[in-house]
Amino acid sequence: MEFKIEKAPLLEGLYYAQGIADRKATMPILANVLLRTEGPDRVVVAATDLNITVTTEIPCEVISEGGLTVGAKHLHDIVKSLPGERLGIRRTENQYAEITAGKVNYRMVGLADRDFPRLPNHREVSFARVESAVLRDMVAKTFFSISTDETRYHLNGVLFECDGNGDKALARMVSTDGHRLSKCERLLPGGPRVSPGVLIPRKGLMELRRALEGADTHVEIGFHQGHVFLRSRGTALSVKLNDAQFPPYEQVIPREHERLIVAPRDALLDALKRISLIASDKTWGIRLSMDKGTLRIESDNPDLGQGREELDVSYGGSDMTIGFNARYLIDILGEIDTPQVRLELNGELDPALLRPAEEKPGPGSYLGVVMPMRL
Amino acid sequence: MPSQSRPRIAVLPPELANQIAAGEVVERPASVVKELCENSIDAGARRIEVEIDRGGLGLIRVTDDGCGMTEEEAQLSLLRHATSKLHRIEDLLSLHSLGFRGEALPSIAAVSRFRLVTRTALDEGAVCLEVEGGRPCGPPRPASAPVGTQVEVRDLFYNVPARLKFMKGQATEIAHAAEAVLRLALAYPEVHLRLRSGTREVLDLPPHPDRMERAQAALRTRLREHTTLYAAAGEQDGIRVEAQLGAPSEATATPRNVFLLVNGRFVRDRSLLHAVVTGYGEQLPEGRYPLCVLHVTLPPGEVDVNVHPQKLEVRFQRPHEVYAAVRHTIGRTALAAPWILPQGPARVYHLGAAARAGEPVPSPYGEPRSGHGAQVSAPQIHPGVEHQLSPVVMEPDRRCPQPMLRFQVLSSEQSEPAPPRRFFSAMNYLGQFQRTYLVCEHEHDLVLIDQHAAHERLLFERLRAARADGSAPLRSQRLLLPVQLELEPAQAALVQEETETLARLGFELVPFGGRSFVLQAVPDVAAFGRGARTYQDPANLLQRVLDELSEHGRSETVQARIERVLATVACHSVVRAGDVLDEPKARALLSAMDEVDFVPHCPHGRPVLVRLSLAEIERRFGRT
Repeated sequence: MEFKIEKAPLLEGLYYAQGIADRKATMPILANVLLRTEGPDRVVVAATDLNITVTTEIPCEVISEGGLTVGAKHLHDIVKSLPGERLGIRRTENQYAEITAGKVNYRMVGLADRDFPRLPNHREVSFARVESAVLRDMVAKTFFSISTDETRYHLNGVLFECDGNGDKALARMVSTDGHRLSKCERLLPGGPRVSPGVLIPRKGLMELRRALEGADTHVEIGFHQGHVFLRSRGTALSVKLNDAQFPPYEQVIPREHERLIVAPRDALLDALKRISLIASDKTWGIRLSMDKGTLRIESDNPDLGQGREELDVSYGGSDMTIGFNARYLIDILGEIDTPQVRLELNGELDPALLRPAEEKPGPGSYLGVVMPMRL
Repeated sequence: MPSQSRPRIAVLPPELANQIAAGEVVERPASVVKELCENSIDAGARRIEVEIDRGGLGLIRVTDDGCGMTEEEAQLSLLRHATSKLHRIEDLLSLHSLGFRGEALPSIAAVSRFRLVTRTALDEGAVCLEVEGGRPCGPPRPASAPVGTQVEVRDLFYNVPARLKFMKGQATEIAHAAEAVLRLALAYPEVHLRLRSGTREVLDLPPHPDRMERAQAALRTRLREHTTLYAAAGEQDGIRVEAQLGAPSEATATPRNVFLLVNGRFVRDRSLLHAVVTGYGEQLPEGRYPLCVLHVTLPPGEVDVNVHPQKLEVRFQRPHEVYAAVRHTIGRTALAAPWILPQGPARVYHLGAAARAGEPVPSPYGEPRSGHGAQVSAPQIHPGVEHQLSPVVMEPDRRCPQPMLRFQVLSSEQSEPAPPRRFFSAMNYLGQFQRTYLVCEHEHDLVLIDQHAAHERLLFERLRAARADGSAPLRSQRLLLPVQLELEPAQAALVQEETETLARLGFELVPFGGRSFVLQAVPDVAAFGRGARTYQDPANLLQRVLDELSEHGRSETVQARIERVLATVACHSVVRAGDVLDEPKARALLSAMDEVDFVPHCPHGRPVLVRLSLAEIERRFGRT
């Protein structure tokens, strides 16, 4: 197997690949990148950790067909350092890969390409073309509340649903770690029909987010055989979905409230950040006290001292004090982009709802639910 | 119905019954060694010689100088349930002997070629009895032997081929036999015990004046870094606890070096083991076990020893009190951390020498005790004064009557706080090495202190003190998705009894009918931390707390979790290796270390300081 290729596109493909290749895996071949010719003028660059797979098709001049695998990180670093615009890669005896550019020559130890795990075939997937900015926004708004506990399989991912309603398709992402929940709905014109929803694991979502950041204005998304596929230009990412039942989240979103605070978003966010500077160790406990027109944010930490800030807000209910993990409120406020926010409360042990005070026109919404702390 | 005849119920012939019974008591050669030595100790022997051959399968011979038996008694001793140690069932409650069932000798005789030679002080000559596979080979015949008893067991299991097949290699069986002798040796320091295998001497423990010296001598080969053990003693609710502790650096991955002795009897007990480990606290890295000999003494009526065929398990009437007594006694010594003090050939400790009955109080500057290996004399329990330990005095080199370092091992009666120590601030600071270690001179030793570990421990102690101040319930985080749990009946009952305790720990549980509960809130620290040993799953955390509550009547998991959080906080907010510390900063750190209950390990279990003695340095320079 031998081909000649432009350096820049190959480097881009290798960059994605080395991010996925799993150097700590017990299977040595997972640390390698697969290079396999595809017809007379293409090569596929692929890496996988068995759950997440990235493949990039790059134009090249195929001299003889075949494939090889070598260490992804090292090949990336070597190609990056090569002089000139073009290079050649050739398989030699004993699975060695020979890389040549001008007068530079490397021979790298490789493993047979037939041992490389089979790649999910995205040719059978029916793709939907959607706006990447919308997907990116939805991921950002729900990513932080995914459980980081990989043993809690059903919470270690984001629920994705979409009604596939043509130009009026409505997509939804929900995540929860058991203490708080975030839910984001957006119009996703041309979105696929995904119902019932699927659970995209946290680690895979990180890769999707990375791919979306570098993508064009539109990407192709598809769901097939327990995988989600994302395709943009020549790069395709596939992520194995979590086969688990997401909890019935609608039940825990409070529908009514006894108390409503409308507060300026920036002032509230800044105050929470300021006061939590003195909050206790790693659990960020703060207290919110409210009476007519005022919201008081307090923290009391025996090791450090106390902090207090008063905010003028719109509030007409009865006095109440409630404790929260400030981090949970800050995470959600950070993703709300309207000047005013609504904090809807019931009792001091009941879930609190945080959402933009005025939604943008058209369907779509964002909200966060946070459980209080007993301080 | 098939025509086969119905199985008939019949009484087993006595030989077979004996063989079956023997299977319970005599598991392997080491069990024979244990049973015979226990008999010797019950007979008041001061010297016991054990010889074994082919790992005990060829020969086991136990010779003692105990009270011996008359001919009539010797014959009776081979009958099942014949014993001199128990006459009425009530005697079980006031049992002071190791044996009581009258099973050992007939069981052993049933599965071997057995010979018993015994003589009392009143008899002119000895009597000899021989039994083969449970059948006497003729009447007793006269023999000549000194006062005492000798039992010879040859060809063990020759008539139980099934058991013989399960025997391990000779080396293993010898090791088991040695372990059996060692366990008895730890409990009975006044008895001279010897074990020989073929011509090789495996163990020779001459009489020792006390348990500490016996433990020191018997476990010398198991001590790796420190050459000494440390004493702990106390009494609580009529439960006397005495222990010889190894430094935390001697910890092993299995509890093989933990010897639990209840009223002189070696036992296996998970709860006692847990108490020992908890006593050491976080000085012991997680999942490690210390080297420790624990003696628990309590009225015989409060322990049921008759629950296990080999008496390896016991039941306590007041298990929680026993647990607490052990944990507190060990905890007190571990907190004082005697292992931080200088040790090694250049140093001599006197531990409680003043309490030695009838002896004048030696001057702290008196002649150091000479001796090799064991340089610690154990705390003596003065017969009149219940467990009053005198202060532990570390004696500095005599040429230099310089600052005397005193600290106390408090017995449970003494509850006043230890006097403020000046240990670290008394050191002469020399400089920083590799921007990581503080080099100090202390008396005649060179002391290296890991600046990161020391600072980390300091901050950890402060955080812990602040957290422990408030007796308010712990903070708890309510769950968005309450977890429904189906508990086992015992656990469900426990939850109902301990609702308040659980609430104080931060768990909110609401009954949901039957054995179902809904978990609505968890301690705030539950969400913090990742990794194999943390439990983010709320149900998992609760399960662990419940297990501990049911087993020990208390739970340390939440406290441990808080400490782990604090340890991480501490770890990230202190000086690191590689940070330059100028002299004022280094001195400030040293004196701050004296202000807290300083434990010489960082919260993750690494040591804070390393000490090189002058003698060690001189030895390396060839000056001695």
